[in-house]
Amino acid sequence: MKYLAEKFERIEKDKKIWFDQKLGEIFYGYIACAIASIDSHSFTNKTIGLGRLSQIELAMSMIFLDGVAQSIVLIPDEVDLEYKNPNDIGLDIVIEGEGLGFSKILKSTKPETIHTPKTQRGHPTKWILSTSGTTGIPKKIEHNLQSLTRTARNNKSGVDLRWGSFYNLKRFAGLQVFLQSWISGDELILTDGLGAAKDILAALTEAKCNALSATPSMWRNISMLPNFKNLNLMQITLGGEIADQTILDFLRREFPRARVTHIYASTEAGVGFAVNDGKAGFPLEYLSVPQKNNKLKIGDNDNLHIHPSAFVKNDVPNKGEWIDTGDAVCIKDDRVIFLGRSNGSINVGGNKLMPEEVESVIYELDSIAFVQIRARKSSILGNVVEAAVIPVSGMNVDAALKRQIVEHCRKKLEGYKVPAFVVLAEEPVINFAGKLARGKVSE
Amino acid sequence: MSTTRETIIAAIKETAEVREAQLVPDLCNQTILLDSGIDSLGFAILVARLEEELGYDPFLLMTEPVYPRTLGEFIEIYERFAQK
Repeated sequence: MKYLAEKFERIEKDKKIWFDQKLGEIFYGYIACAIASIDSHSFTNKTIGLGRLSQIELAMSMIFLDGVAQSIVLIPDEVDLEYKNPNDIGLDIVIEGEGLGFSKILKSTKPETIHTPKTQRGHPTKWILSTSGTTGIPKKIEHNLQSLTRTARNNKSGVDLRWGSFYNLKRFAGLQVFLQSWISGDELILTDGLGAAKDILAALTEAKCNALSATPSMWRNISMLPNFKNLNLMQITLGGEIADQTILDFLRREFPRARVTHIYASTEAGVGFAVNDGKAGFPLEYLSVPQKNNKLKIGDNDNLHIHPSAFVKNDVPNKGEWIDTGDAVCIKDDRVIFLGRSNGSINVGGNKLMPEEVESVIYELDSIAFVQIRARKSSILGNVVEAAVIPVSGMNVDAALKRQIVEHCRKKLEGYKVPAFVVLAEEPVINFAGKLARGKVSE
Repeated sequence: MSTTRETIIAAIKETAEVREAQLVPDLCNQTILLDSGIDSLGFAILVARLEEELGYDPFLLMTEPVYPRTLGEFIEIYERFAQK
């Protein structure tokens, strides 16, 4: 597929594709009509940023702009554009708020007026995504439609799938679900992604979602909600965190008819690969048999390396063909198991943080002589943050100090970065490079 | 010596205080955990604190994974693994 709107040429206009909470059922034909009603001239060959938008406006904008714009930049919602001049970050136009008004157009589209868009498409649009920013400056990764849709495939479950997702469409995982749906024709439920997990789950259950993608921590979370048992799932997808055997077994037991897939995907490398055998990690043979044309190997630093088939440009300093994913792995029997990020970044329920960022915030306190942030394993969220501190002389690691640290962090950092535990540190170990030794990632 | 139940309720209150979360006033067996005022991060902290206090994490010990919905189910899981 050269551009998303190409789908209109090959699909029945009255095929349902989306279910939006406010607009109800949406057909390919309505989308085609709405797309055609806006002149694409002013967007041609430009760099367009997609800011804060409803999920339906996002979805429509992406289909509208693909093949027209030079680049589509998915601006993470955490980036505050009020303080940035779009020209400084290379954007010609920013679409946000009410967007191009596609919701209104969709609402008023009548079946009799359905026709195919006449817009000339064919510019190979670049898609610019951000990895989770840890220092406030998200890292930009350039993709194209081909690299983004490499693992999109036809529905193999034997039943009609209706997808839901807990991710925003601008995040890599959410975008994958959206593209998978668009290309395969599987329906997609659009919720506004702003609500609590409880509300999203309720909306998805009501909309009869039977295919769902979420992080292992989100799966653990929603399994504790009353509505969980009302889901009738045929496809379960996990990603964004290491999927351990416990959560895989749990989901297979709860939904015996569902196909359980866990996806390893690195934003840097584009899509990685999928595992469907219900076992954690991936089969050893993936190291010798390319997965969807992605070659895999374990590098000298014990990190997983991927050699993607489509060329993906990015601003990671790696000029060779093999991309270091930064994920530490080890071989156990006939499986390759994921151990965690080799750079010490901590994954709390799918949210990643760098220890250094939290350490620098804690160092703002006069009472702290030394702090080291580390991961403490959690059966619920994968990891939580632990701060090991040495207070200045005369002070103790008591309840008052712990409260001071937690309150200070809460003012400066997102919730998942705030230390869940504060303990007294052992003597810090400085390695030969003069750096704090963080220790190798271990099981 | 506190019962498992008392230890758990005390840990929930302590976790809520540390997380500056507002607990529902009437904690009982039927209370849905994720509606009690603690979010999922608070819940992860609670489980880790209880491991320190009680010496075990039932979610790591269980061979057949179960995720409790209500406070009653949560306490029952801890009581079940306390005997092991």
